[in-house]
Amino acid sequence: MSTSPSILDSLVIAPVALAPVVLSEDLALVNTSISLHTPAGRKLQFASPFFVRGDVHNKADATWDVLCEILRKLGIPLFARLGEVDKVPAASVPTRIAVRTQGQPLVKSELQAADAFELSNCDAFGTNWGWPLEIEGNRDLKSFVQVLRQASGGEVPLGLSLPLGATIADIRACVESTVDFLTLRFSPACMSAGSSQTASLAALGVLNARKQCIQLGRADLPLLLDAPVTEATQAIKLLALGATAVNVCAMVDAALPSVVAIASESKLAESLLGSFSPVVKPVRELPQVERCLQQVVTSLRAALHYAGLMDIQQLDSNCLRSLSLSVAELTGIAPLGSR
Amino acid sequence: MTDEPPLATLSLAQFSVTEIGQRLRTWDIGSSQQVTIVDAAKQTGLAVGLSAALNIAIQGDVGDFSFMLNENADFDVHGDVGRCIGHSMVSGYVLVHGSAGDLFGAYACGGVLAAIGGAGNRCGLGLAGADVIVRSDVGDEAGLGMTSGALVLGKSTGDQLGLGMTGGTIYVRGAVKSLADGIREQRMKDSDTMRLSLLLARAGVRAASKEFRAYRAIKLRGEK
Repeated sequence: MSTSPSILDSLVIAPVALAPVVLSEDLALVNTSISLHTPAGRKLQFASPFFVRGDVHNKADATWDVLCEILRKLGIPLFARLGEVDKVPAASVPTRIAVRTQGQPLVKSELQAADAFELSNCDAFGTNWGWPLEIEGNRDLKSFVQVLRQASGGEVPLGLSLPLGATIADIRACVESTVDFLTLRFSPACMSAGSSQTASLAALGVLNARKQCIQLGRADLPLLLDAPVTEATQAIKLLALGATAVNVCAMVDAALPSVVAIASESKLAESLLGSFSPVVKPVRELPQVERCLQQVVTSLRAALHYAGLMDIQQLDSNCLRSLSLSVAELTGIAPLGSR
Repeated sequence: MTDEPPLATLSLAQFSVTEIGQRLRTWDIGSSQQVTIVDAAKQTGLAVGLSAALNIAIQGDVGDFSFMLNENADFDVHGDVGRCIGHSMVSGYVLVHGSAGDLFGAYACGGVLAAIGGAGNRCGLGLAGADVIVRSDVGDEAGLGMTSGALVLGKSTGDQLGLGMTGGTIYVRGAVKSLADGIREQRMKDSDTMRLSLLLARAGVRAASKEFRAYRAIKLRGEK
């Protein structure tokens, strides 16, 4: 079965001009850190423009503590509830973004203990999207965000989430609500994850949202892209298109040891041994996951260097070239060789 | 001579809602637990995120989203209140001498909210453990999506009472315009009567608990 290429397949990172060659260790000098700001002046910095969502918690299971430790070490934030990290040793808890899903009470401890807070416009399963009932469509969105900011003491960066492919009006409502970041989420209801359509949807969603931010005078509003990105190159192109950080769960998932096999063994053991609990061997390290995440960061540094940049803040759509005229027309990215 | 604590007064004509909120969140309980807020004129987001055990009297009308995430503080509002009062409240007491807007007590997890007047639509939205008492009429979809707690309605209710409700109890004294699917009137047990009497007394509402009817969501077979 043939699959049509995605928009991202038709885009390449292009060098501005050849720079003097650097040794591989000098790539560490390339700055990949990003930050979220609050109006009160608080700055939350991430070492890398990537993040992981707590959905990976179920799959990580016995390896959860170790995964959290790796994320902390690499400076990659985690979207998770307090309950998902409360058993993780304090020294291993990464920067945590708490989430309030649709139709749930706000939790004061979450708001106060989290490093950042996302008001999600979807349910806990990520499928049912809509404005919360308490904000009457989106009429009171700005007031609600401002009141929540007051209740949190103004120190916690607040964000909103929208589905990828949200309308211009919905994106504008979120941008105008004075939030500190916006999350664009892939919804499993719209198409199968990992398809070329997903990559195209992610590319167009980011481009569209960034365009609205620029038009509304908030060009620097952080856009967190939560889509199943499976390759480091895709993530880098999405960052160049306007995303501030990209979810790398799909890559982490692939590198995690198979818990499905452990689970089936456990069930078998349970049925055979009755009340005896199965012994699951604890995992003390996840070399594949750590290597995978380090590779993503290294790929980003290499791509930035290739494009002649020393700071991720300089990465934008000018660093991309289009291999196809139709994609160039659709995205506004200049065709390769036009420079 | 009595040792009554000194009364602190904050005026919304003098300070903004943000400034008053900041003062109340960092209030020194030792100085005074009694605070009066005057000149309230429907300002949005008054006294949100409080944790101190303060007794706050408010003169005037209170705006939308006020008392959100309140913990421990008691409010006595001499006026009407806007939409979404006491959102996600954890504990404490809100007594409104006037009427409440839509979404009174939305997602409140604990404490008691009482309105002596009526309340708008979707009163007790997603109620998750708190008790909400409304002496007069309420609008449509009261108790929408509530999961636990008690909603006490002293007069008539609008359409679709208890829509999407999965837990908790709604007590109604007046007429019910229409019930949502899956909601049934159930016999008042002794525990209901006792609980209701305490709630009515707490809100200062004079009514006999035997005049009320209890409504709950029907549990499907196998549900706990």
